[in-house]
Amino acid sequence: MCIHLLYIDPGSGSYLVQVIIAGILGIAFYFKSIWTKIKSIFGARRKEETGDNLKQND
Amino acid sequence: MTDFKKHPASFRDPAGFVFQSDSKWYRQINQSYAQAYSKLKSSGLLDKLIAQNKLIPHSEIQKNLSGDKNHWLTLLPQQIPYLSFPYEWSFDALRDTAILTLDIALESMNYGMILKDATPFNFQIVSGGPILIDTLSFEKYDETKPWVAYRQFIETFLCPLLLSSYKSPAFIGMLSQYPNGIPVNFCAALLPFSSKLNPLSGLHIHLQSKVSAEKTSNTKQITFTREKLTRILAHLKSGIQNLKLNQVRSEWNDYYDSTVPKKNYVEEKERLFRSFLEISSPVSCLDIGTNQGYFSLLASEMEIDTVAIDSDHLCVNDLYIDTRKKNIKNLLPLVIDMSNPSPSIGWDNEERAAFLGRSKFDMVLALALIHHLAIGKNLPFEKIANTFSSLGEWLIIEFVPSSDEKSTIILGERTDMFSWYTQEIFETEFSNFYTIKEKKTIGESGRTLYLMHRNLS
Repeated sequence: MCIHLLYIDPGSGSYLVQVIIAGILGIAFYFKSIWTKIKSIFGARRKEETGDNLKQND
Repeated sequence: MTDFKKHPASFRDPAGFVFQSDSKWYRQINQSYAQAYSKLKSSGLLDKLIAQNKLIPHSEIQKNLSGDKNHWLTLLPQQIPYLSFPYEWSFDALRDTAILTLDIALESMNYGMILKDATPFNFQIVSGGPILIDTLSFEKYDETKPWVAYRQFIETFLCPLLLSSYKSPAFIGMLSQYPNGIPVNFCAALLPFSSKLNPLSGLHIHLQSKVSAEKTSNTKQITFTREKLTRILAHLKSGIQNLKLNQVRSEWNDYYDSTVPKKNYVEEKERLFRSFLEISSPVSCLDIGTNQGYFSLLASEMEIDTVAIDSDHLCVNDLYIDTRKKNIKNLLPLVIDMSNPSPSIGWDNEERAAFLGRSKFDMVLALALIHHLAIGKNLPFEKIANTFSSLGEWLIIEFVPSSDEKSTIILGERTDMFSWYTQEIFETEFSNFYTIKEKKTIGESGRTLYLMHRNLS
């Protein structure tokens, strides 16, 4: 493979990579937010459970 | 106009240039940058960044001091006491500068502006931390465009930081060979395979190195959003904040902690050191081979502006972290090897001045150093005395005899080579350049501390 890097405007290459990285980070962010939601649901349930337990112990 | 002199590195940016007049540094703004500067000011960004200590403060001068036809406005920035360059900074100093760059870029977007350059050479370390000195780095932000300085940021900040983190901090020194940054594909080749799995290096180095090697024909139609750019900058920031320096401890790291030659050595040396400084009362000082900066810290406590240099990156980095933590403003730690100090670099060898050329101090400190230079580097006393005397008027120097435990480590098997390494010859050779004002043995250590004053030539 022959790469003529010097003939490419570095700005344009960096523009494309920013689009790709922003896309990947966007997807990661999307899944992360779903995961956080799931965790918060479980977290909330657990809290409720421990709250109930405490009441029973009283 | 008197002695107008343009700075030899200030020719790339059409927005303006830096020049010296009446021994003060000024920054001229050209007519082509008038609109951007006006926006920087009217948006409130300029005042905000100055108030946050992120951008060097300046006053405006209407007079055309340079006599240049493109003149629009002249700025007189706060003068910087001592210039240093990124290839002399320690890991944490470069990392703080990278984070500051991202913070400034993020803040600018709130004011409708963006950084058009992102290089550590636009910063200086002033009063203990980095500050942006290039007031003309801003332009109007077009939200549909990605960041124009992205590649520059990656190559001048992220590449040396990642290589320092994965391999060795010596890669920061490579910025003197690559002042425009370490190329992404070069960095990708140097990083270990595991770095591909790290989102920071995986995306910004490895992916970028792949993408920039591909044909990029349709980039003209690329549209972007502010949200996307914010996400990229935030990702860079959090990744860089989590980077850690690859810690390979050197044998001199715990010099004063674990291997103190004799009891009361440090206490006695400190007492003599203070009394010598009181006699000479310097305003500025250079501590060569500062190690962990014990005596630099003492000098800075005595309100002496101190530049502390050592070739050991980890020592300098620890000292930098210490100065930031304690908010010490008059101590600048730099990674410089006295036996091979930074050369002058750039176009005409003039853009960045050599270390020796830009360094004049009242006092030079060479504590527990002479055996490293004379025996470790085979440097004759005469050469050492000549260079030290060119750096400052006063010298506090410690003579370490060849029988000293530390000297024998450096000597190794070469004992017959250094018959000239005696206190008598040391005094004779240094007397050609200096007058010995004080001479005191340091407790029971067998070492001697001298205060010398440069001879009039």
